[in-house]
Amino acid sequence: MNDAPLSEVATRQEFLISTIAGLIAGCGHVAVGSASPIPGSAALLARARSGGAMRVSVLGSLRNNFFTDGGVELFDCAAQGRVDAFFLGGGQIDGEGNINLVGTGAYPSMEVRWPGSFGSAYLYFLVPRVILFREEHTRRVLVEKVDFVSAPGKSDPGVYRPGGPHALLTNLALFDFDRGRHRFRLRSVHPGHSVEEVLDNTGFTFERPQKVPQTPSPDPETLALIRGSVRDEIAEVYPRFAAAAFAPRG
Amino acid sequence: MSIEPLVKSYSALRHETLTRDRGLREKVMTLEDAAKLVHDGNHVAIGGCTVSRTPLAMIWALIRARKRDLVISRSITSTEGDLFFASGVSQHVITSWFTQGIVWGVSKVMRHHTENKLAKFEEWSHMSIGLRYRAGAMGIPFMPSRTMLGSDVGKRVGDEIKVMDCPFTGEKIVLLPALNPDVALIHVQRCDAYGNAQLDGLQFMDIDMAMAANKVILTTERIVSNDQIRRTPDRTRIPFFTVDAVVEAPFGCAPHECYGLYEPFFEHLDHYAKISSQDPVKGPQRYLDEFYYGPKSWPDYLAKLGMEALLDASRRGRSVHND
Repeated sequence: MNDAPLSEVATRQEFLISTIAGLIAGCGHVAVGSASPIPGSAALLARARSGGAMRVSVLGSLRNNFFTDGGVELFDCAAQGRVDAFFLGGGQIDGEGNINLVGTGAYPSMEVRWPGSFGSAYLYFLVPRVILFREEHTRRVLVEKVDFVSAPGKSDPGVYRPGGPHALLTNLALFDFDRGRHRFRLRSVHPGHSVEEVLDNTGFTFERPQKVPQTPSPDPETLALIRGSVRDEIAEVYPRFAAAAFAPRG
Repeated sequence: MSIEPLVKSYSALRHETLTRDRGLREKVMTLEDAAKLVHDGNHVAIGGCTVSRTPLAMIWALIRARKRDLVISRSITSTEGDLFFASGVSQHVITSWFTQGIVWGVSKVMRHHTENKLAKFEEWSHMSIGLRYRAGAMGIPFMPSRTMLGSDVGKRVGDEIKVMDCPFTGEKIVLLPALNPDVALIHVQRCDAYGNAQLDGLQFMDIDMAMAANKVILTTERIVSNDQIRRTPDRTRIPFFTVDAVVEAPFGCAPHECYGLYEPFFEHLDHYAKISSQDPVKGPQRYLDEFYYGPKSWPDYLAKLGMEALLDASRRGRSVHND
């Protein structure tokens, strides 16, 4: 046994992993796209807690992606209702859950051009529980109205849309998305941050309870899982992340 | 000059197909001769995806031949898109995602050209591009889809897509126009001299692209016998009668990857990302001078990439066969 006590303080990434795992608990199949080490780790944590009942597909993994057609299979599975949760981000995210992956300014002559929307709208429409995840929590990201709707947060009645935003997680706070009102509601603020800080750094209006709870920190058992099997498994796809994001093992 | 309709009529497509030479003849030629099959202003579809099986040897030849006004389409566009813009070969790229690759951040060259209105990055959703090639391959004028419905990507494409009520369910549905490129450039692991091609790894949109295009230029890691192709016909993905040119170009995707043979040349791509980020004009120009205009031949280009880099990329690429 190592005598050094296990750090009970989660790193920023461990905290986010634990929080996302809570948001996808109970899902049957969680899919994780590209450049997503934190959601990927969260999915692996949720699976570990599910006793193996959860299926996790991590893009780019050999071990956790047992068939591939270059992503076609992911989209087809989503259309057939075989994917329950997915993760999207955005250069801008607005108060109605619209996301922008295209750029700022008036399309097509943008002031800033990002790489593009890819298939975000498709999955946003079809995956029931889409977690919006963006670490940066500033007014340049969280805006009242996106400059370009890559994927809309809501659709007109009559449009086939089983999917959509479920929650928004940043470095400061966790929001739930109210699909009836198409607005975010602040669920909790992370330790070390305040509601005022969230208000100051959010460009859209949102509802909040009178007393806003603190986002729970991972318990020692969860931390041990994150630093154990989850770190080992995510290292297959994201070795540099696995080397940097986790506290030393106890 | 008449404006070409967005979607070619079935009779026009049939006419193009009917006038093709479908004889089983050898089509092996040089990169330079194959480049002559591409004309200024052509719509050129690029096979592979991001840094996978990019037909860079053929693109290298088109840039050296100083082609102009090509319209480029590809599923996802990486460094070749930067080089199309920077070389002046194309000012119009149709794609779903345009940057070197996730690990290198947003392409400064793409940003420079689009933000300063020097070139057009026409964005469609990934699936819509695939379905447009599919419709082209099937010889039908459009494909129905739900993709892009409700997204500004669809709205901003404008008249090029149509929304209608589905006659079966009454739902709103998007109609995506068929895309029949003038030329498709596709790199494969092996093919015979006639152009019967076998692909390992992911096929991306290449098969539909080959069937949809008016001409196909194949580059291949090696040319094998027709007997070998016939031994495993189930693995032949592109039939010879769609193909107009076969060019043997070993390491024809370098510094991108070709499944089972070599992985990306990461140090080289890091270097490109660095110089193109520092100066999105002079950086790619210097790169083009050194690696595109300067080399005497394709082997000379590979020599500039370096033997060590070639062997390292091969070792990683072939490692999938190690156990």
